[in-house]
Parts: sequence; structure tokens; C-alpha cells
Amino acid sequence: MDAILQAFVSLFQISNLLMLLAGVFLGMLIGALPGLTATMGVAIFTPLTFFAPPEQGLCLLLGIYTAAMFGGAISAILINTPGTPAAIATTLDGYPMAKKGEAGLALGLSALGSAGGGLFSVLVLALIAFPMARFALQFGPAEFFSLAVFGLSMMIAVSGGSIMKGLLLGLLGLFLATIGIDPIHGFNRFTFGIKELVGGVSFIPILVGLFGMSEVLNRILEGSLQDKVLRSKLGRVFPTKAEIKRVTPAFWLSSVIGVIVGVIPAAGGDIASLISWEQAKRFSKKKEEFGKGSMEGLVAAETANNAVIGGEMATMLTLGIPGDAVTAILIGSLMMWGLKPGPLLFQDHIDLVYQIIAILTVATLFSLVISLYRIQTLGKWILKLPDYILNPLVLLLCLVGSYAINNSLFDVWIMFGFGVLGFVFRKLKFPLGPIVLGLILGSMAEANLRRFLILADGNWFQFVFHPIALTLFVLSSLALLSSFKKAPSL
Amino acid sequence: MKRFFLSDLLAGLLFSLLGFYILFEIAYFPVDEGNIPGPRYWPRLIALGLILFGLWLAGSKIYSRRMTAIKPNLHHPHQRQVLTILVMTIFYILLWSLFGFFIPTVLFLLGTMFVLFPFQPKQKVRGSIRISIYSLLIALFVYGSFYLGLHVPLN
Repeated sequence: MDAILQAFVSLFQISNLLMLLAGVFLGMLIGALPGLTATMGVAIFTPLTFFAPPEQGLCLLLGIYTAAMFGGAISAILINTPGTPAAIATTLDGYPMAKKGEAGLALGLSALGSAGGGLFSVLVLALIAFPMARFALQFGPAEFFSLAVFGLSMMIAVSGGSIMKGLLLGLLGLFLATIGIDPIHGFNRFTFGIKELVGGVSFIPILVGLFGMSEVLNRILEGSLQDKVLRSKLGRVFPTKAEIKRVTPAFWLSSVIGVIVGVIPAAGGDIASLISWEQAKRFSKKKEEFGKGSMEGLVAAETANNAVIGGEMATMLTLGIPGDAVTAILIGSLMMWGLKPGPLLFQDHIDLVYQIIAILTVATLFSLVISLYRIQTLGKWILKLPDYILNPLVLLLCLVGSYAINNSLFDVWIMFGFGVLGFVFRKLKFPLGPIVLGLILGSMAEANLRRFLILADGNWFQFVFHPIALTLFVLSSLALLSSFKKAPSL
Repeated sequence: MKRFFLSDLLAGLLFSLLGFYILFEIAYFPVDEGNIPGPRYWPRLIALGLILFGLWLAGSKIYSRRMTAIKPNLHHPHQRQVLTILVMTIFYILLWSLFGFFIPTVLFLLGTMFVLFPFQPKQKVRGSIRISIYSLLIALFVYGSFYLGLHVPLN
């Protein structure tokens, strides 16, 4: 308990608070602007945090992540365009509410639902992270390899569209992770004599290219959305007691669903909010209102997409497996500071775990206050930012941010290459998530598989004697098989 | 109705080619010693996966016989904007390596904003002045933040 209090006290140092406020403000901005996602925001600002202590860096990045989930609802409600993929379900009832003249109330309810879901998930994170980490300490090479396979298969299974495309990009990510010195024998692989590649491809420029630059190009291609901005008055923001009472069951249901979905590797806020919306509809007494401006539907969607954060963090911190693209980038940031997520983090850097819990709590509260008291100004202001300033600025930040990590123009070229590649993949309907997961899990999967095979004298059959690994393999196969069945095309 | 794209066929073949390339490259890596997997073990598994799934993707498109290609339409203003900005970015990185950060950045911002600015027929001069000021201010802001604030040597 003392350690948690200490984490909160250290968070209230002026430098940490300023970083957190900056993160929350930027997150709101990024979340509210259609086309700019939380992933993109965290990717762009990660290089900047390289120069700050981990605590300050985490304040900025987690502030962006948390607030972007809040901000995503603004454009979803006002212009029927989800600011982030996690706000897709918010449009179903948020925009109809705005059309009925209840835009302010929709924004207020979404902010309260988001905050409640976020705080609930942080509480669950504090409760489950430690038992999960203790359990993960029993893991050996077989379990870690199967965990990497599980993470990758889940990402492919939930990435939507063609499973084959997901598999191919996952393999491409695994291949990129092999570039550089091999983890067991120290042999140089696929470096082509380029000294910058000996230590492996830089992780952050690839992410900035895939999620930052490619999104800017996509925004330019799809044109401006500013003409659609709702110019009418927003109306009251705060709900009445009766309205709060009415949405409470949907809130609790979605909080639980959000956390569970968050714990599952690769299943993010978009999936959680859609499942929650469906389930809230199933249990509601006013099913017919769903999709036509139901307060319960709106709260279900917004609560769930924030409740995933704690679940995703639990998986990321205890197992070192990213829950989604944002947590994948956060793993990259932690590695940049020399911290390795996984069970050992709970032994060697327990203070950091408490700090993350404190940061998420305060970031959620800041986002709530800004949402409730400044949402009218913010909503209108954010949606008026011209594309001809925003797009060049974001592109420049992608370029300079990639340079700043190693002060190397080579990284800028890497970012540019992957920006173009990411843009092409988007157009060809390839899901980008698996490439990131492959890149992150590649070295973990390879090193542990080879260690296991050395111990097992090259016998793959020995996996049978590792029940956790075997269970994870079965779950991976089931996930892939079920998605093969459901997929519209291979 | 299912839609299949010629681009998927090409993408599948390209991924297979990458797989074959990896197999070719790892032929020069040290061989596995007995049951101890060496540096080529893991890339070989990846290469086989790329070949198998790449051919599967390409094959499924041939089998479906319902292919349509995504054709780039460079006469479309947004596609032309994307292409122009990509070319500008390449030149910007080259100029940055030759002349340092600040002046190429101002020119890059000026160029990209000029491409994206919605010029009105009688407001070209006013628009140009506005984007020139914004370019300079943004370049100063980024330079100040990274060079002075974070001590990144932007030269």
C-alpha cells in the first residue's frame, strides 16, 4: 500500500504532472481527429520520450493513450466518424443522440462511461497483475515460445479480413526480427554489410512509419472531413440521476467485458466495444432504442473501450505480450529505457509497475475533468484544425522523431520505407497489427524455441510434457481454425 | 459478393519470392550441429511459411477467377497529392543530409502546405503568405523543441 501511495506522490512532481497534462491534451486532440489514432499518437511521441526518464516518458505516452480513447468519442458523436477504431461502436448511438439535439449529453455520458471503465480496469490491473506475474515466473522456454505463438495467432485471428494476409504479415514481422545478430550463436544475419543493421532493425522508426506516416498519407487520400462538422449547439453535458441509474447495468457489464477482452492478447478496444454494445442490447429492457440514440448503447461502447486498457496492461507487464498495437509500442519504449516487460519486471522494477497504475488513474481523472468542463470548446476547436497544417506537421514529426532516436538519417529512410509499405498494405486490405507483433515477439519466439530444442535434444515431441505450452498451442490452433471458418475470404 | 484483387495475386507471389530469397540467403549460414538448431533454423521456418502462404494467397485468387485490379488513378487530385508529397519527402531527406535541418524543413513544409492548401481563386496571395508564415513558425517550433529542448543535433 505504501508503495502505491509513494507512486502517487512521485507522480505529483511538477515535471511528471506537466508531461501527463501534455499527454492528455495531445491524446484528446489525436483521438478526436478522424484518421489520427491512439497508436499513431503514441508512435509519433515515443522518440521524444527517449530523452526523458522512464517515469516522465510513461506520463506522456500513457496520457496520450488514455485520453485518445476519450477523444475518439468526440468526432464519433459530433460527425459520425470514429476518431479511433475503438470508437466505432460509439457512432451507433452517439451520432443519433447528437442528431436528436443531445450531443452535449452524449459527450458527457461517454466521458463518464470512459472514466468509470478506465478506473475499474486500473483497479483490476492492480489486483490481477501480481498473481499473473507470479504464475508467469514458472515459465520456461517452452512456455514462452508457445506464448509468443499464442499472441501472434490471436492477433491474426482478430485482425479481420483475410487470415492469409494476417499470417503473411506476421511472418514478415518475424523475418524483420531476425535481422542483425542471432540471439544464440552471435552470427550476423541479413545485414548486407550495413553497420546500422547489426544491432537489428530499429523498432520505433518502423512503427512510426507503419502507423504514423501511412495514416497521414491515408488521410490525404481520403480527403478532408471538416465540412461535415456539426455546427449546432451541444446542449447540456451532465446526465440526471435517473439517466445515470438507467445506464448503470450497461456500465458494469461493459466494464467486465472490456477487462476480459483486454487481457486476451491482440483483442483491443474496437472488439470490446462492439461485443459490449451487443451484450448491453441483449440485456436491455429497451432493445428497440439501440442504434437510434440509446444512452445504454453509448455507455456500453465507451465504457468497454476504456476498460480494455487495464487488461492490456496486465498482459503486457506480466507476460511481455502486447495486447494491441499501442501496447506493442509501449513495450518498445520500455525496452528503449532498458526495461523488459515480463514477470521479472515485478521483481526488478516493481516501482515502475506501481507508477503505471498511478499514471493510468490520474490520466483517466484528468481526461474526465477536461471532457466534462471543456468538451464544448474542445470539440469545436479540435474539429476545425485545418488538414493543410495538421498533415505536414504530423509528417514532419514522424521524420524528425525517427531521426532523434539514434541521430541517424538511416532510421529516417527506414521510417519512410515502412510508411510507404504501410500505406500500400492498407490499400490492399492487409492488417498491420500482425507485422508489429511478429517484430516484437520474433526474437522471444526464436530464442526460446532454440533453447527448448537444445534442452530437448531437438525433439519437438517434448512439448507434450509442458501442459501450459500445450494448452496455449491448442488455443492458438482453435483461434486460427475458428477465424478460418468465419473469414469472408482466405 | 466476394471481391478478389489482382493485387492480392501479385502480393502473394512477392511474399513467396521473399521466402525463396531467405532460403537462398541462409544457404550461406553455418549449418545446424546435430540436434542444436543454428542461425538458419528459425529463418528457414519463416521462409517456408512465406512460400506456402504466399502461394496459397496467389493460388486462391487464380482459382476464384474473379479478379479485378486496383488501378491507381493519378488524375484524381488526392492521389496526385499523395504522390507529390512522397516525392517531396524523398527530396527533403536528401536535402537534410546535404544542407542541414532548418532551411530544407521550411521548404518542405512550404511545399507540402502548398499542395494541400485549398486555394480560393482570388485569394492566392493571401493564402501563400499564410502558409509561408505557418511553415516558418512550425519549423522554428520543431527546431526549438528538438534542438534546444531535447538536444538532438539536427544538422
